[in-house]
Amino acid sequence: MNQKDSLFNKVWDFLGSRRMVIFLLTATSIYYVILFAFSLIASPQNAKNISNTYPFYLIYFLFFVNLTLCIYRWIPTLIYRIKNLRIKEVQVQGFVSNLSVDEISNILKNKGFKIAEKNECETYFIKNRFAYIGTVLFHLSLLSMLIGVVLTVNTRFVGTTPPLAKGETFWGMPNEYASIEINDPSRMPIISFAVDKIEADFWKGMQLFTRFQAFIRYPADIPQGEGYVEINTPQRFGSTYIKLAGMGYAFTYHVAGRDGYLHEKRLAKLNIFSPESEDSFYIIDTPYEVFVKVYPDFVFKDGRYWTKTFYPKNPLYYVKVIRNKFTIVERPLKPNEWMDIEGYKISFSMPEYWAQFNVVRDPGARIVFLGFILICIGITQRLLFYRQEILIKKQGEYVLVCCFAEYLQNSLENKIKTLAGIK
Amino acid sequence: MKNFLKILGIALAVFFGIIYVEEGMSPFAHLVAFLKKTPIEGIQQPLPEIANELKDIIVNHNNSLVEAYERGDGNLVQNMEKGFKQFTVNEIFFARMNTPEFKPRLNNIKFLNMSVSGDVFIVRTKEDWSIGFINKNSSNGGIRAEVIKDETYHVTYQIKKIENKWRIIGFESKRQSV
Repeated sequence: MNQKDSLFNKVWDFLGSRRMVIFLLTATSIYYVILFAFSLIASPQNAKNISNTYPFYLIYFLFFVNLTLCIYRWIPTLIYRIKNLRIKEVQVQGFVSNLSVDEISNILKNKGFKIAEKNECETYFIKNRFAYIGTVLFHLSLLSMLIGVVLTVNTRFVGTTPPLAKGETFWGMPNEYASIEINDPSRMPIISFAVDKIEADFWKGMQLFTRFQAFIRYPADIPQGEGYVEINTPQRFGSTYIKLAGMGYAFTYHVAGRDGYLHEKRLAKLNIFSPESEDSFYIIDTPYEVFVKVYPDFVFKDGRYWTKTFYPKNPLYYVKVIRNKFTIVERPLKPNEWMDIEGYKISFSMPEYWAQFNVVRDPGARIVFLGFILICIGITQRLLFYRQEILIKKQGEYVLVCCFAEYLQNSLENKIKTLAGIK
Repeated sequence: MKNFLKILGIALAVFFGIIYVEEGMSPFAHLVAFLKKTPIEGIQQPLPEIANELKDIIVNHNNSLVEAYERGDGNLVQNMEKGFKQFTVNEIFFARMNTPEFKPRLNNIKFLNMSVSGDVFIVRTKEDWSIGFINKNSSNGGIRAEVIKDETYHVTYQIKKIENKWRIIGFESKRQSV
């Protein structure tokens, strides 16, 4: 029994020890440096697969255990440190002041010090008594982040909607998504929305967005709310949010058959935005593949088409129709102008935008964010609001002043000397 | 220091062990290949005998394409992958019904370069075609005149061996601007 207890205690001590932390940090650093080097010379997918194997999970688990044990075992020390004065435990040199005890006391009270203990001869002042809590907050933040990461890895959902233009609806059905990162139905959020309009502004008319907004209504069936999605500004629904994933030009095209009747009317959403980018679509029931370039504010310059600004002030399409490997027609086309393709006629409406969205459900994100907040509070409290203690001791006609500070002790002494009128 | 080195050794052994199990091969193979700049998978040049075979495939394909347009029968097209061929068959049928004047002729083909990526061979050509069009000249009282237009195309073929036979699995074509 004693041997078992002893072994258990040894393991328990090691799991919560600094040696364990050093081992874990060293092992993790080595693994990740090698993993990084490996991902450069082999495929990143292989590196990703390796990072998901059990030895890595074991390291994360041991971090979790070590952190919890460290926090748990430090709590008695924390309570002791908060309750007791460190100036009594350490050796500090003092200086003699010409001022009286009351005068020095008033000066210290004005500087935010409070009386911790007082007797006939000695008065202890303290500032930032609870500074040590910053250490606990800092470690709790790491715990919070670990929990958030574990939650994220096991519950996160990321899906990409198909391109949506003005007036289109996304119902959130599994088969609607253009792509889903992890195909687990239990993770899929219940979400639907309709796109009201999409607007964009550009800096000095150039290909630099100052604003790209997609206005939405949600849910899609009975809209109860309105919102918008911008670049770097997602729309949130609890632990789910939608953000912009892509954009491009969309237009409605009309195709008239050889009989003169409307053959097809469809909204084309092409992956084009820059003036020289090109995308294509097929005219239904024909072998024609139509390649399109868009110039929102076209100008014919140096023998080629270009765009002055990115606002659709004077749009022009450059259209190329291919059948098999042969180019049937290649020409510029203005909106609502008809073009002949071997007896068929086609025209395009004014260009508008489409937007593609990422639907992200990440319950762990807020917990990780909480961890970051705790880190900031913990570090600030620990480093800026550190503990300071002052002892004022009456020795006959003289008053002895002793200072203790966790950091910058000399600075505190000099400050008190200045306040006490000592040069 | 000794303990640190022990930890280092154990960590490295575990890591490379994982790679060996995960990859099924020596982890150093990638490193050696990287240092020798030998691609494990990448763009390479096909052997001369294969290059000649590919040229024949493309020439035969284009000749059969010309005949298919002439006769209006897409099944005459040769050396295409089954699914891809069906697209051409449909297209030639469409052309027969809607644009019977569309009869391309291959005048010249020049092979620019060839490469191989994995099991797909990529062949770039420059092709001179003469194609029949109908010129609807409204100034002529609406008389439709058949004209022959000479056009040059830069074509990139993707060819793969399927069931021991070379098959064109796709191509991209760009007309050279005048």
